[in-house]
Amino acid sequence: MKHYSDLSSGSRILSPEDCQAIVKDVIDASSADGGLSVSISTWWNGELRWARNRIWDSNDRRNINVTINRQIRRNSGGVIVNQIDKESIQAAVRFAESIATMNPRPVGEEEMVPEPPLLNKSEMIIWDDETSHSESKVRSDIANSLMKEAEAEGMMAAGYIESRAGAVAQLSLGSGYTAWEEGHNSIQYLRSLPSLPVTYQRLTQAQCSVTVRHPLGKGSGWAGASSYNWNSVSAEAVARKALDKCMASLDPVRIEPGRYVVMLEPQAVDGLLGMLMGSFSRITPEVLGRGPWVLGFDQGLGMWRSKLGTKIIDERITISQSMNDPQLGYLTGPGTEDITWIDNGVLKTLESERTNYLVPRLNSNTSASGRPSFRMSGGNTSMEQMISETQRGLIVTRFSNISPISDDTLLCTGITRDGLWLVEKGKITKAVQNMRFTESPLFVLNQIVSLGVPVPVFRPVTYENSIQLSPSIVPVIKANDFSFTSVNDAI
Amino acid sequence: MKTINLNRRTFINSSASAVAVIGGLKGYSGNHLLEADKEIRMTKGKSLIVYGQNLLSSNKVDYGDIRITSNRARNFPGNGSFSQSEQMGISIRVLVNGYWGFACSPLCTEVEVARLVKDAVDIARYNSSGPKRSVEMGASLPEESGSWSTPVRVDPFDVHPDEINDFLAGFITIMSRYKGVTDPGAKAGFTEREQWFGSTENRLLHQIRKSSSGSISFAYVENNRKFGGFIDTLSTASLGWELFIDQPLREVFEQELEDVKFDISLPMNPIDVGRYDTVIDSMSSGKLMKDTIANATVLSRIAGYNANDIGTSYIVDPEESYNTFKIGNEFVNIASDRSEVGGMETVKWDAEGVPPAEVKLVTDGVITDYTTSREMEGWFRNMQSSPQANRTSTGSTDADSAIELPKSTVGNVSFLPGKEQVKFMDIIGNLKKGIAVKRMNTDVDFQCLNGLGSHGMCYEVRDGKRIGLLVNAAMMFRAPEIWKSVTAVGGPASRFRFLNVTSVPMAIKDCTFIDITRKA
Repeated sequence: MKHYSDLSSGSRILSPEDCQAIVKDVIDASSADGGLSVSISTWWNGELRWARNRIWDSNDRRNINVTINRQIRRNSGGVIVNQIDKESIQAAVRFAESIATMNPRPVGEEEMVPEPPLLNKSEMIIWDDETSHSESKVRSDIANSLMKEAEAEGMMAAGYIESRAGAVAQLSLGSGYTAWEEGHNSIQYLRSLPSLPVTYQRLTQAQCSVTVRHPLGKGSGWAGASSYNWNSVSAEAVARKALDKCMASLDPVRIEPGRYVVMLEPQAVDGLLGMLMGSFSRITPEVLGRGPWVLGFDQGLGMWRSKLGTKIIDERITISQSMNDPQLGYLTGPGTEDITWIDNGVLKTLESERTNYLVPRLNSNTSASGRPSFRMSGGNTSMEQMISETQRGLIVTRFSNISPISDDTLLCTGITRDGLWLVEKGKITKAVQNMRFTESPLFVLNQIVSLGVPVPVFRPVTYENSIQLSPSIVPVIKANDFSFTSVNDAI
Repeated sequence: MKTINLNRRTFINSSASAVAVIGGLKGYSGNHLLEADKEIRMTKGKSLIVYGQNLLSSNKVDYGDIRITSNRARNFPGNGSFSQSEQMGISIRVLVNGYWGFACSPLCTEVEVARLVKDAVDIARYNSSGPKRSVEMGASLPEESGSWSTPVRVDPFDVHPDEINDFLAGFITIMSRYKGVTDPGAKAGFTEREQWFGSTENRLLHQIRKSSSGSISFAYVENNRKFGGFIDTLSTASLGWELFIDQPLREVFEQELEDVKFDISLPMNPIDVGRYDTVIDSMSSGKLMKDTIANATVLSRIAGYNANDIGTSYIVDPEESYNTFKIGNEFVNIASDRSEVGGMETVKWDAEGVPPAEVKLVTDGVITDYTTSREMEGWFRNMQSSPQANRTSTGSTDADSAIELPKSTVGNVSFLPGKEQVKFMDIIGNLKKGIAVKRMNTDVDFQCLNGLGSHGMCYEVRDGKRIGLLVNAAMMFRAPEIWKSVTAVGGPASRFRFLNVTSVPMAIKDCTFIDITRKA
């Protein structure tokens, strides 16, 4: 395959057969010695951006990455290339082999843990044919329709629509790797196989986000939606919500910082939970003796103990991920399994990293590295009901610039953005200027008043070579005593 | 001046084993992995560009350009190994009736060029059937063909990887021999970005950008306290291997170690929230300047083109603000220049094939220019009778590769020094009571307006001396207020470059400090 036009009609990414052929070229070019891993990522992005109520960028972008790693006498050499002609593949393999003869064995890999078997799910439900074939004309028509209302209201709309398709093919090393570990020759082994054990995982992603601003910067509203399936993204609703929020946020007034009852919209909840979801590692409490989950040092065991099994937040909260959750999409990747991180407020699981050979002794492969998908339990209280039951509080659209302050308490700081409203005596009374907060998600999740119905939020993956989407399903949270520390007059 | 003698090449050349060692590994020097890449370099690059230009002309676009890029990166993580990546790409960008179309691919062949031209033109044509949009670009450019490469003394891709690994390993060994030093680490990275550019203005440009970067860090332990230190003179620069070997790195390390020992000897106290006269070092003032002024004066950001992602600017009306908006006082002078030798963003032509202009963004505290792309330059020119009426753009667009769209950047941006030859420690010496800050990180909002400076070293100063460290202190600022409160800036000798920002230390009156861990 030399050109995209050689691909079957409408295809924008390499097929499993294309990837098999490339892997075969890699194996053919490899010297008969040592181990091998190959990963091929292929992606297409159809993007459209608009600003000042007009489209200013519309594109069709594609790329391929071939990552080749050769192990020779337990040394390794890796290269990444994006040309797939035989000559380039041969040169890349030769180069990787040359590096392997020079590179010493990486420090810390004396006891390499065998790769878990890769899941080979060629028909995952994070793939949608229509999304993968969507045309720029369709994106253009949608965008033009989304701008009309904002322009009619004298506002400035900016937005982004993306349709994406991608796949990653990997030479599954399960048996080959073991053969190498036993001192055999995985290249020879692979050549002896009737068909190559190449896994192929693919995904699509669709997203739409819109910001509507007053032309003189007197107000701003935002909304967004993302999914693997364009038909699940209601672009009209996104644009309408952004415009409504902008109109409702005009000329915000300044109120004093302090502790407020807050009604955090799902997008704000997702932002605030970022630090929490990134904290579920066994290494920090049980190896390093740090982080929010460390309980104390156990002299008998000679190791730090964690808070596993301890109630840490409100018992109405369960945070989990399930491979069969249709709203989360099928979760892919080595070691993926159903996980309940927090069960009715109790810390149930901490992540074990496969590559850390200390931790598998403690638990099996519980992998949530990167940015895990998750579902958070909720309730049945509507936003309207929360507002009506609030004497004085704030509604937060979303947060920006969230940065950690303390890894031990998960204290973080950030800024509200694109819509903040004051609620007084059961009614929204005015738009207020943005504020900086200093707060911990653990504190918020212990101050819950009521919860809404969990809904998917805008959470697209931005890494173009990703084979895993990371949706989250979270509710509106009403909580007491949220700490706002200063006013921020940026709009 | 002491220098480290870690040069394996010198050793090898003087040893009997030289021929065998070099002979066995000679395939590395300057090697490119990709066969297609070699073809592009040797023969095809120019012909593909011309082919694309002809197709663009026959499609009668208002403007079109074609880029072919080949990127190489070689990384040394400091454990004796290295890895390499090579990426190629080709892109077509067209303008038809005020609408852009862009298409790109990794496969650099005539068949792909033809497909990309068709796709890009189709995209632009279809979009132009919608609401009317007009684009008048900045002044057109003359026909030009040329070639340029970042001037480097020692091309890092010509240096044997063993020599680089030996250098890094040697430095780690040296650091570990100092009493109290733990966790020494040394890394290096090198990139080469080659670009062929052609446009419907009959420009045919070939440019190779080279850069080097490094990271050398350590920890120092004394009395059960552990502080970190790092060498800050190895940030990414348009230089070759000389970035490492031309510096007296051992002396830089020893100075840094002395600074860390001083810091660790100081008592640590909580911050009393309040206002303080403050001195910040060059790295801190550079970050503050980039986040609150350089980013705020990118015209596409002001115009709202980034409103849906990184944000906008406190400059709402670029026409009204031009030459009138007072962001600071007379000490505040800021310029952007992508032709600066060694600067991280230094180029001969930007991603739109425009030679960079020297831009004075702020003069005596007043906004006097913006950084622009070609489209933004034309947009601004139409707004008013600008003295820059004949400018094409500021040459500020950039794209990592042809797979990426050209985007406006701030380029190499500088906070210009004052006339007096004063340095950071001199300014501290004049401070009776206040706070001094080193290596502060800034966190600025989506309008470049308000922010926090934290995570640096924050010192309590009395009678010109640093007497203690302030724990959890953070500087809270609002851009116009802080830049109008500058009372002194460092002189030319205090200029310091970190990444794409060159800056000087400065003194600020009545700066607000908070305890970042304190809740309401």
